[in-house]
Amino acid sequence: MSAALPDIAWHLLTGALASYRDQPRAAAAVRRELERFEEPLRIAVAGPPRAGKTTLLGELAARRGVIFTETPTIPVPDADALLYLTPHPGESVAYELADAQVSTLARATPVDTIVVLSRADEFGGGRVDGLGSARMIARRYQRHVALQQVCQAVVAASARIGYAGRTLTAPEHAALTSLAGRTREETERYLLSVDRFVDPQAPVPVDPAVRAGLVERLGLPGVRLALTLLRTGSATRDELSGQLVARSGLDDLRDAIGELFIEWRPVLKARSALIALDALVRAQPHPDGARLLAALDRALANGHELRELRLLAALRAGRTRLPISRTASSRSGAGSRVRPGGGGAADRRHRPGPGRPAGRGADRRAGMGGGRRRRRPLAGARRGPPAPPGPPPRGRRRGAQL
Amino acid sequence: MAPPWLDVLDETIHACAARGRRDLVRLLEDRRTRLLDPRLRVLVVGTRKQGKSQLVNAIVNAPACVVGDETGTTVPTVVQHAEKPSAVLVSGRADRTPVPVDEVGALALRRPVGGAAHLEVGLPRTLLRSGLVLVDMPPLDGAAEPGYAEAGLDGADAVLMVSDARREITRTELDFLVRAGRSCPQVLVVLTKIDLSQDWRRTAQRNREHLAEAGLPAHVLPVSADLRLRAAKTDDRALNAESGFAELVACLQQYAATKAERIAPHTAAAVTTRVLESLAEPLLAQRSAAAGQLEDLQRSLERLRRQSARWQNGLADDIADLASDVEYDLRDRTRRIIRTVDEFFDTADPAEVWDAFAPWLEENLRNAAEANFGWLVERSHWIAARIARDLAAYRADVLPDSTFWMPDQVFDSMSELERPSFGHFSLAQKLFTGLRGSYGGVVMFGLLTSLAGLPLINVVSIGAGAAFGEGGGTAAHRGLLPQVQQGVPGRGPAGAPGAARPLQRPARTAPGRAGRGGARRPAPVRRRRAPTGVRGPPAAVPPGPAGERAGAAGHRGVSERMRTNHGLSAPVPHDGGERSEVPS
Ligand SMILES: Nc1nc2c(ncn2[C@@H]2O[C@H](COP(=O)(O)OP(=O)(O)OP(=O)(O)O)[C@@H](O)[C@H]2O)c(=O)[nH]1
Ligand SMILES: Nc1nc2c(ncn2[C@@H]2O[C@H](COP(=O)(O)OP(=O)(O)O)[C@@H](O)[C@H]2O)c(=O)[nH]1
Ligand SMILES: [Mg+2]
Ligand SMILES: [Mg+2]
Repeated sequence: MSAALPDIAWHLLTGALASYRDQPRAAAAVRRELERFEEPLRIAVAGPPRAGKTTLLGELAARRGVIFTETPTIPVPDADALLYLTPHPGESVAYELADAQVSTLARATPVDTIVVLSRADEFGGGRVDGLGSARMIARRYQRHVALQQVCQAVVAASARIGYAGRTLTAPEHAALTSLAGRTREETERYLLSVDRFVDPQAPVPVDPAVRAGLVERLGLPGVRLALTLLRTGSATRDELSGQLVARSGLDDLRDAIGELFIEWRPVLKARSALIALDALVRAQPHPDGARLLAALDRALANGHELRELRLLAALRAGRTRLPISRTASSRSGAGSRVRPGGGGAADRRHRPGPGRPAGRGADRRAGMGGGRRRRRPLAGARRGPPAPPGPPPRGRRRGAQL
Repeated sequence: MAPPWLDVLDETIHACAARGRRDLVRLLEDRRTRLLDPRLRVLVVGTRKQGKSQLVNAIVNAPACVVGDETGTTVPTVVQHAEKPSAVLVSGRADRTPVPVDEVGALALRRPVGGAAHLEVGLPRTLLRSGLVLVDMPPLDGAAEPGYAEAGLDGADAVLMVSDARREITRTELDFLVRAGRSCPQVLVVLTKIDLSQDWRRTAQRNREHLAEAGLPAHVLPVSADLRLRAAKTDDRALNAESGFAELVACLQQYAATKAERIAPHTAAAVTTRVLESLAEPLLAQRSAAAGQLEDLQRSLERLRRQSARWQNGLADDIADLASDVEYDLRDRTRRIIRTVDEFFDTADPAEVWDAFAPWLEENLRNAAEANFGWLVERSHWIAARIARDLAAYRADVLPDSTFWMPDQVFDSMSELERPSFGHFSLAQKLFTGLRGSYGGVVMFGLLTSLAGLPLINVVSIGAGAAFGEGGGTAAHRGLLPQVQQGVPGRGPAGAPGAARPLQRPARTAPGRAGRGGARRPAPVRRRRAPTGVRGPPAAVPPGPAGERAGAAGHRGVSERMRTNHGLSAPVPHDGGERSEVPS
């Protein structure tokens, strides 16, 4: 069995440090990479202007062991993982992402990217099912060959709906409730456009300024969605708020970030380090260079963790299934879900249904990721990095087909 | 009679043909045909998911184009009039595949290779009957190859840029419009989805400002395709009015009606301008090549000018040093003779011994002058060599032999020493009053021939004058003297054993050293810099006066020794400590 990727990366980096002993600049760069091993996972939030980066960042909030940073352009130096926001999905996203990978090595291991179909509430021309149709599109894109090759997952999310839902006020709930009290036929004509909805002449039981406030917060599609939800059984403020958050897709996004990034922190760190080392060796030729490059190639090509990550992505996307017998014999009993850490993790994180109340989001967030990290003294650099999260049972790994 | 724009277009076509530009001829002929065609072809462009296809559908009130959040438009869709609804996928000249017309709006077409394919949709619509043709394009920033939309511009009469009303127009969109204006100046900006926007009025205003800043005289029309389609479905006039489509449709109809009078001349003007520019391109390229050459020349001229300024400064410095050194040397030599003369006449009566004295004096003076002059010559060679080395194009053989050599007979022309009338002057005074002229003449003679124009002459003359008690040189020259005298072993006259010291020396030290170091020229000897930028061991130090100076009477052999020295191309080497010496 091959060694764990973080061990290999650590080993290669310390080796490179020795090789570049007499090239202070290069040595400093290697040392920097060694330090990065210890640092929190850096997740960049990128995408075109007005894609909703800042808003989303606010909703993702801080988590232990993770740093989110907003940046307009890719590639993002120093990032271990990338959330790429696009309000208008298309094949060109795949090209943009492929171009953004800094090297062949990076391109060959696209385990660092999640594509976010942002502003999902605006999909479908702002009709009530915009969020739903965005979710379906995301699912389809996930199976799209061009996108498979550049990312681990495609998730639809509306930070606006998520935020408005999470912070829904009592007056807002009251106003929406009184609007929902009218029949669909009565309200329909005032929901055709923002102009109509905020029209002071409109004979609806809510003050025009309050109506304007609602559009401001939820957007017209959000208002339509809220009214539909109120009419179909989510009457209380908590229920409405929970439904809005659930439909916003933010939970799905948090799940994906947890399962694909945070739990794999050491592996993603190792990948970043190897890619950086690869670039360094190519830029600063060294007698040991050829040997280092070959070792890097081998590490990334054979690193079973990376293949596991790809497999995990395929499973999440429903692109592949594990053979039943292997699944049954698996230690963790996690069903079809690959876990970097094996047992335990899976039962802790049961995927919630769409109707899950919003209030629990925070608890869940706090419990997530980074839990198994061990500290390692940096200075004594003789030891390798910590053992990465234990590999999944061997049988499963063999069954992997990417 | 043909409209004037057609004449211009035809003339341009001739001009292109005359220059063998068949590509331009073809382009213009295509354009000519299109402009004469009564149909108005409108290209609907924009970035991803702005609502282009929905807009076209709303104009014709039919699902003619693919609308959706997913794939979107992959091939241009040409929507035009037909008696019966029809749809054809055109993939090549003869490759026309009919498509069920109800399905065109839901077609999931693969992205075409090479971009040759397009969809043709025919609809029986009054609006289209007047000749309006709408071309729904794939997004500008989509996966289609770059230039896809630009290629379509040459076949279009107007451009309709679609931009989401929930955001302001972007740089990408403005840039495209600027480019589009060069082949298709009739531009309309349509703000879509105003039904979803809270402040589309403000956005429209901002967009008008952006367009004006970019120099684009484009109209901005806010619309909602959704409202229009719904209004059509429910036959809701009020909603149709809110959709903003009335104005858009009126605008398009007006374009179509006035194509020949308004759009064709504008378009022809833009196109001919562009074509003439590309005709002129080779000429402009030539001109810019010439301009580039001129620039290069100017740069090298400037470089030479800087270089020459440098060597001129260097020369001026060296000459000034030389002048003061020579002055001192001459002064020193003559002073020693004077002292001997004074001593001599202390005991002898000038009138009695004159006949014997005159040849002695003459020879000594001649020797002193020769030695001094020889040294001057040698220094001049050293200076010439040093300056030459600083020049970029220096080769050992570029130094002319003609820098100046001591003329063989130079001192022969010295006038006979006049017998002074021994009156009430002290003898020495009288003597040198007489001498002054002749020595000066010698120096002048020697120098004028080779160094005309340099300050050397003046300085040497002043030196001579000073030695003979007249003028005494400028304050600056005086200031230099003491420093020269401090000298450096083996170089200056000061180092010579038994050298006579000028009486003024202590007095002169003060002004020479006074304060503002920068304003005064520093000591020439100390200042002697290692020639800058010289590779290899340079001849760093100018030669000292040739030969040791013994007593005033022992100057005879000097001129011979000096002459042999002239054979040395490199000046007398010096001990190394001096070169790096820095004034303290
Ligand atoms: N509410 C609203 N939605 C619109 C309007 N126009 C278009 N849409 C929606 O915007 C989305 C994109 O519309 P398309 O017409 O396909 O946009 P497009 O610019 O042709 O897209 P591409 O061809 O992919 O570039 C669809 O979901 C439409 O329903 C509008 O006026 N109002
Ligand atoms: N409809 C909708 N609007 C959003 C969403 N996220 C952000 N916005 C709005 O889009 C605009 C730009 O958002 P921002 O987060 O600043 O985008 P950034 O430029 O990518 O950082 C703001 O007006 C937000 O309110 C979303 O999910 N849905
Ligand atoms: Mg931002
Ligand atoms: Mg389209």
